[in-house]
Amino acid sequence: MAAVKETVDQVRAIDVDQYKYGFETDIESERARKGLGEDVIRFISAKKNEPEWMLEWRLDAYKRWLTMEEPTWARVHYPQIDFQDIYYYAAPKSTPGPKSLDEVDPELLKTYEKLGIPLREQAVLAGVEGAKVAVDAVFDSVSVVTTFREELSKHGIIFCSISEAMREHPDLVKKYLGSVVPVTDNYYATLNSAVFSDGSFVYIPEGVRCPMELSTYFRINEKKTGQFERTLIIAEKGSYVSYLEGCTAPQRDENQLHAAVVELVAMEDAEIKYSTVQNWYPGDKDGKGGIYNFVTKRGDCRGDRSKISWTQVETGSAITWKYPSCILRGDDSKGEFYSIAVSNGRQQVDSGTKMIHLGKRTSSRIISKGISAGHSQNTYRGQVKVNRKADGARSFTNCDSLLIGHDCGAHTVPYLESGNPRAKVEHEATTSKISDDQLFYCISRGLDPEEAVALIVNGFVRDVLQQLPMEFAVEAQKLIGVSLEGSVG
Amino acid sequence: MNLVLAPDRRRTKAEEALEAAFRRIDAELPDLDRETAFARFAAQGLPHRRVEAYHFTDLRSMLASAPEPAARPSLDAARAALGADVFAAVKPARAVFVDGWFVADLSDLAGLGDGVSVATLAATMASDGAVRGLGARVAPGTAAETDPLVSLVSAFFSDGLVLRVADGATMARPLEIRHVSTGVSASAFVRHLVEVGEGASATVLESHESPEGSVVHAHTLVEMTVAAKAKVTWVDRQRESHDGARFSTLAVAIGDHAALDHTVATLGAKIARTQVFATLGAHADLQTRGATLAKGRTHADATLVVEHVGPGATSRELYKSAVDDEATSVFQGRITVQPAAQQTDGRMGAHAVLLSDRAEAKAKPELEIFADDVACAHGATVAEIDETLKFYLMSRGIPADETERLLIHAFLGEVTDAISDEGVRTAIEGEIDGWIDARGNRP
Repeated sequence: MAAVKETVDQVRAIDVDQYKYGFETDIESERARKGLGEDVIRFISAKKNEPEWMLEWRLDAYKRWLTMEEPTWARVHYPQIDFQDIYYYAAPKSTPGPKSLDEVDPELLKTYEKLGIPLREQAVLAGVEGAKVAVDAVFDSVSVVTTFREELSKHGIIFCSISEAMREHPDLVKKYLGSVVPVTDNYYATLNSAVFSDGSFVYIPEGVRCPMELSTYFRINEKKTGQFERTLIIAEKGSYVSYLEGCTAPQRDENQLHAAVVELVAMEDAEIKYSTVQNWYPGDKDGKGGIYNFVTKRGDCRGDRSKISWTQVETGSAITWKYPSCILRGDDSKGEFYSIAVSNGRQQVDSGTKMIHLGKRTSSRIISKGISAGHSQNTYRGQVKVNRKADGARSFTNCDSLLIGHDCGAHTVPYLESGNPRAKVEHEATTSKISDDQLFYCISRGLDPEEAVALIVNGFVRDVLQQLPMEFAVEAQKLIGVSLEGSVG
Repeated sequence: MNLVLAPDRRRTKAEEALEAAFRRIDAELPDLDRETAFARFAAQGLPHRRVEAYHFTDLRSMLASAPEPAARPSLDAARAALGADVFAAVKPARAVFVDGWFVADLSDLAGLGDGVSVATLAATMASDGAVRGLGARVAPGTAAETDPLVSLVSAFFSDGLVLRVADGATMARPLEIRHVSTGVSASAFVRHLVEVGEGASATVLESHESPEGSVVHAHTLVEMTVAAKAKVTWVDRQRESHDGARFSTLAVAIGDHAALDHTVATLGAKIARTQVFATLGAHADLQTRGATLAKGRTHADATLVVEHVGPGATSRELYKSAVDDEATSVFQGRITVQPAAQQTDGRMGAHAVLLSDRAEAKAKPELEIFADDVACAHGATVAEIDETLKFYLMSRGIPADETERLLIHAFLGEVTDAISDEGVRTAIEGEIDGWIDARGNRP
């Protein structure tokens, strides 16, 4: 009940036009020329002191990208993107290698504070004692500070920016980068491969259970800058890691393009849990502005009995195009996808997952909760594919959609393909509005209509919220409340 | 008028054949505006996997050829092709099409009752100006309008039936529209029009058959309007040669408070695609069910687009398939609820059972919802026959080889049980059991 109260308070406190996280930080930044070309890619590569092979990799991706066409199959509509009207690289002006937090630009630290994301662990945990969270904070495109590295390195864990990994651990990067999401996987992934600015790299050695939740907070800050994150997480045999990703962005009038790529590799008996709370600027109530979020996320369960679990809470962005997927290659490997997608105003969401069953007795579980309000369109699009050799594979999908108001849409587009008789594939979906009975009951118990809706929605998404690490669950619940503001009553 | 396929792409053999055939087309039915229909087809060519509605049924790669449109058969040849009287028990009136051509001598259209008229499209066109220019006009504003298979029938059809049931009239006996083939390798294109007036009721049995071994590409398009408060029962039985192709489309507009009860059973064809495009008015009711039995190296696709336009309508879709050998079954179903269609109640189920190691099933049940006060759901499953069910039956003393037959029968029984007429139900069940028995005993 306390959490529900919080949601309602949030709804009251925040007007939809006054996006809570819509502020800008005034930091000088250094950026590439506007537009895209080989020179820009060389510029990015040089800025990051990358090895020659990396530059070649980028240039190759760029050449392939030029021959590709933008995908149009998703149920999202937006004006043609002018890829020459975007800055592909912006970095906060570098002070040479901050040694500690004291050396970090105080403006930057203040930004994080405003977001409620202090770098210091205790604060991050919002009162939860004992746990530790390391934050590899990404401010625009460059990792500014990495904490807890020492403690992690005691366990042999590598947690650093991907550009640093390229220099310090080139063998690992070379081996795994692009091995889950190939360079030419899709239009945006290829673009990302050419121009990615930075991101996180995580390596968990054999048998290590990462002692803390790893976390990255993304910010898009510089005007008209595309943000092209690249994340690579490798969990060696028998290891475990939980990774948190959370996003907020300042209010903007112009659309901003974000095309991230996340690659996860889980070896034998390894487990990766990847949680996202996405709350980028969704545009104003008339659909002006907002982030275009075209993301490719994929996990590869390479070893037997490995497990990859995606949990996402999507409340922001004008347009979301995102399908965190699992390739279940190892025998007995597991893939999970838990999602809450809330759309309001003029937001368009086309999101879901892919579960590709290749190994024997692989299993996947998909729970998706979509909530549409205002004038938004919310689509679940997912694929479950069982290969001929995947004996005994199991897959279960449950997609529920909730509609609030007369002008929104909720759509479900699942693809089920099974080529093995010993596999069992199940899918179920429902779409409905909040039932009058439930509302009436809540109101008769003294809740006002808005509180009642908040209570019912929180119940609707509970299955997924429970999958989030606790500190994220609290934030996510607040976000859902804020996102639905103005849709009730 | 652009009658050629888009020039920037190499045509497939089948596309070339269709293009050549269109140039030579028999002008027996004039004033049809076939050109517009063919141009619509030609603009896209045969659909392929990147065309979303054909994602699982890539006709561009699957159709190696497109046989010539069939010539009118001789009466003797037609009589020899007539085949078994599957629906004899219900004593239906009968309209016979052989290789796509109506054969009056084999048809019996008497005794359908007052207010029921049946005529061929050719005859109707001579007297009824409203039918002219039919080629370009199929269910405007619906998914059927731009469908390439619909465009093909519209461009090529040789004849068809016009069935009209006047307001308040009831058909005295069912009408069987029987489509058979002489077995020549040819394409047959038939297009029927059905108009059921306000408060009227009609029962139609559609039947398709071709001799095993023949390479027949059979296309059928049925356009139906069911006026307010009318009731239609429609059963479609498809039993084509395992070397042939069957492309069926039913485009139906169901009026306010009207009801359509539709069942389709597909057994056969190397490539089968059955499409139902339905729009529902206020408080309309659609029941559609399908049983697909696929074996050998065949591909059977059932595609539904159900659009709730008016408020308070109900739709129930249940499609089941049993897939054996190296066959593939495809189900694509979409329920669309338009903004005005509040209080829609839609429920869709798609279930496939895989009977062999190399069988495949693909399903895409979609919900597309633009109104908030609705209750819509879909469920889909793909699996083999449940071992615990087999075990249970065996523990009750049923021999192992018999259990599988019983369970397939029961699985598809959910589809056939809903056929209200006992004679028709028995006929369809008989076909299904014949298919199951032909598999032989495979414990």
